[in-house]
Amino acid sequence: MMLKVSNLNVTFPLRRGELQAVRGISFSMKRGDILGIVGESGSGKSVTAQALMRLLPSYTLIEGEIIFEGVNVGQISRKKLPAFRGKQIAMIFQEPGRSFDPLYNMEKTFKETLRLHFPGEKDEQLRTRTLDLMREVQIPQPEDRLGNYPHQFSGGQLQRMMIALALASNPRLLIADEPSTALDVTIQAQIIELLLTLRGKRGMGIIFISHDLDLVSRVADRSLVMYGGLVMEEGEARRIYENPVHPYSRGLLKAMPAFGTHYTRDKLVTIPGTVPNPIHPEPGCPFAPRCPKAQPLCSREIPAVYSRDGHSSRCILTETKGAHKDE
Amino acid sequence: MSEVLLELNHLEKRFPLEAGLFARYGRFVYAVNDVSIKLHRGESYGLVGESGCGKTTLARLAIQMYKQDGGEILYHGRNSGSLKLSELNRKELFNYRTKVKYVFQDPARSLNPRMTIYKILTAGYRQSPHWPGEQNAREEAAEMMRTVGLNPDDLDRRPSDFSGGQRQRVSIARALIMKPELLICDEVVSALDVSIQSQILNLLLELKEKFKLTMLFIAHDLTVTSYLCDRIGVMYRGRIMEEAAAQDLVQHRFHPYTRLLYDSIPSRMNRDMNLSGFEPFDSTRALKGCPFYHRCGSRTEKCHNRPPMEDLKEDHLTACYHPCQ
Amino acid sequence: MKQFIKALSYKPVALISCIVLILLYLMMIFAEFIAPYDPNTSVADYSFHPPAVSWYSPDLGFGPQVQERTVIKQINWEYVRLKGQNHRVKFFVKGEPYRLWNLIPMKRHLFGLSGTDYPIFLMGSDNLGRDLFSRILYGSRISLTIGFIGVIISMTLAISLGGLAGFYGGKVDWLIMRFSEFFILIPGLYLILFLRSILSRNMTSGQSYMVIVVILSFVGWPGSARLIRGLVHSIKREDFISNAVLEGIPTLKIIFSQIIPQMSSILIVSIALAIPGFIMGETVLSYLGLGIVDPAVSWGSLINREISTLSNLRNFPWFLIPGLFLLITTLAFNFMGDLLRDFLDPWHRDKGGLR
Repeated sequence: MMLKVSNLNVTFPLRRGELQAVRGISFSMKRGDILGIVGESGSGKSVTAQALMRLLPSYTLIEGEIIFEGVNVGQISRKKLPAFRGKQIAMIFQEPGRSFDPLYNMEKTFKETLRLHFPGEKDEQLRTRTLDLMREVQIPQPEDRLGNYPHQFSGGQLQRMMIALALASNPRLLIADEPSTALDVTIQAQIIELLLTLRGKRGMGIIFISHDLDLVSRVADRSLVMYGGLVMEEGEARRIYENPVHPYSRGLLKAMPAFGTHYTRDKLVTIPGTVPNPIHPEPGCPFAPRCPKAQPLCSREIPAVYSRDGHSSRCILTETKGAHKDE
Repeated sequence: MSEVLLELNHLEKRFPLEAGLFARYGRFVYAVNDVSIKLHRGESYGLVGESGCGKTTLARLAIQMYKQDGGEILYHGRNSGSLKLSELNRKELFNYRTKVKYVFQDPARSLNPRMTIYKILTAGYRQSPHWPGEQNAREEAAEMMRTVGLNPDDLDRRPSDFSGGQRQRVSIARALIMKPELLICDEVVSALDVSIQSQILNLLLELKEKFKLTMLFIAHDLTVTSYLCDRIGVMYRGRIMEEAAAQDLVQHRFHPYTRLLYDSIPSRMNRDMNLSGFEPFDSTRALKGCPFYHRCGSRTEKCHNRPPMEDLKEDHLTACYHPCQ
Repeated sequence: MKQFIKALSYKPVALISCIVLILLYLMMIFAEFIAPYDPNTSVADYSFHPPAVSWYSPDLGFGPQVQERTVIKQINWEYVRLKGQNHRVKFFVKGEPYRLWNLIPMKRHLFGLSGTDYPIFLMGSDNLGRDLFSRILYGSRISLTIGFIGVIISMTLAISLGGLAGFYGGKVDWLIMRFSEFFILIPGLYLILFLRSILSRNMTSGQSYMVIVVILSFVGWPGSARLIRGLVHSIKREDFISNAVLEGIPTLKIIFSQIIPQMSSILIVSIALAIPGFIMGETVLSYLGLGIVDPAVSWGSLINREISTLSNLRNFPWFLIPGLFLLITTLAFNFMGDLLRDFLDPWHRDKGGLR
């Protein structure tokens, strides 16, 4: 296992109350795998990623254990953190435009980062490395773009540059937090394609975070469906998409129209209600108030995780009805 | 087909670029280039395209938030007769805007955070000669709250007390309170959570039925649009590339750009996709030939001339010399 | 409001400022009652009398009391204490008759001496033997209100002009901004002096008060107007403003009922921070003899007269007390402004919310 997270809790103490962003999640990830994390706003998916990178502010209360390549991430000293963040795990974000310094051209930006990882190399060597990285993320004519500033790139190209920068140190894990959400659909497809190619070539693991279950099921090998700070369902990505077990994942899939459906023939099945308030969460399953199959027990205690064949679900129905009888 | 409600004829819109110290004056962003569409009464028309394709500009031209640089907009209302929008005076424009309503993408930004829901709903109504007085208006507002699935007791609360989906319901209620004929929805679901989007989509369908609305639905998502709309226009760089009935477009896509959009839908994505050309387009140059020329796989010399919109099938228009089969 | 009090308790400096300001304004409101004398009552033979209230003497023991003094050197008004001539300070004693708020005839003052003609000078007296404490209290009626009235006038100007410039943009914006730059470019003090000097110098105190307020407001508005213009400019791009325009709501109504309320928190803060500027402005004018003149008093005119020579300062240091009042007031307003900014700024508030 490359990454093992056990019983991770993240709480933000605010004046209004404690915001429990992540409420005890556990998962693990093999080397070179793509792990998808699906969730809506407030589900805790981004906070999980930030906890993996130790990016959360110091006042955050973090419990649980994150073991990455045999190292306990929570116990890395402040001094060693920068090296850990760059070399071991790199991250790309939703809006690449905000991650670049607008006053630095690409050559300078890359030189600064590369110098950290390859001290002692000459400018010429760093330049060659930069060009190689740009070629790897398929920027056409990289020599001409080296002197360009961030605003001279389109959104999709900037995201490619962001990926290239993340690759600079040859990380073993790349966390992509909604990397394609701000991009157009046609560009999104290209970025996904690129990520898949890179995974194949470099053998690095990717954590792919998105609100789009459909997209994640195409990209990831395994995926987690998060809701209200809990993992609701975990398993092989295709299987969650084709045969979801948890009522929430089922609802999500049914709620969005599929291509080819039309309102005159097909009715959308909606999930009633709204996303729960993370500050004072109700006891019990966070999805219970919206769940069509909720039982009285559901709103009393958080259900346990039931798993079978590497596919698990946090729902009491999974136990009573048998997890995968449809198969 | 039924009668035409709104006609956009050869619309053009360009925005002047802000000229800096050394920049040239007279440079423009060409947002809408010669677009003609007709909205029929009672239908929902979907405009699909990526960011920067001019779909929002087109919708804002329709409500005259911007003035067009060329072309004409005709409105054939039920009681108002045919109107030519460029010739309306203030009062006529006001009346037109009570009949045509615009719903913004992000309800968090389109509702004044300091006003109560009741004030928000009635702000425009108050200006109208049909204002029924405080007492009746309150009843109408409460009724409208019920219609969009909100609690009428919440009229005196403020937008911050509501979730994203509820706020979008409020902005829909605000648009509907004066009983418009045409509703322009600009990406109304894309700022919402997945589990909330379907609620709003269903609500729109319900309201369309109930108020006999005509809808102009703008989205970047081909799937949602083809589900919700009767007809779809695919836009790229300020031009309509393909226009067809939604159900027809699901089966036949003639324009290479529509193909690309279709192939980019996550559930259609295959691993050996054509990654041709991600060159960003420069919308500050006036458009000469086919807008998709730079990214198109089947381009030829001919494409330097603007391809006309042609019927390749009944009611299925495509602007391409080399349509896919 | 509850939250505001809570925020106050987090910041002791702001809490003290708040209390100080409340006390000052209470004293201003009840000046006639609290002051032992009318500001223009001069007690002959007691010019340059030092502050005289003490807390202990062998005769009377502890407690507020006044020991009589007499002048021994007329040249520099040196006083000596008279042994055995102590009087206790009494509260609610009958004294000079006055009308509270010019309405209610009263005789009792908060404190004073009874059974003697000897005057009580809490903070000393001036060259004409007038009680400095009473003069400070009456002076605060001008100094403490001028800020509010000035801010109201300059903010009204700033909101209307800045709002119009920001909302319409283009030519209107250009005109208003150049106009405001005209006021900004001229150094404020010279403009004040110029405006003041072309106006007649023979004015009643009420007139000169109004003139000072108006002058200060005219110098003060451009800064705020530019701030407001910038804010309006960004707020008008919000979708809800587009929406209001589409709904046919009249422009002025949009500016005043939808745009301006959005920036109320910034306005409150800038008002709180602008008030001391006006107080100081009045002081400067009066110090230069262009503001409040006798018989009216303001803190500025008090500072002007008394501390004009160094020897005065050495011999009669209590003449600095009006300056102290001024310092405390401006500091208190500044601290309050800072607190309001932290309190109303949501970003600050969230940071403050961390335990």
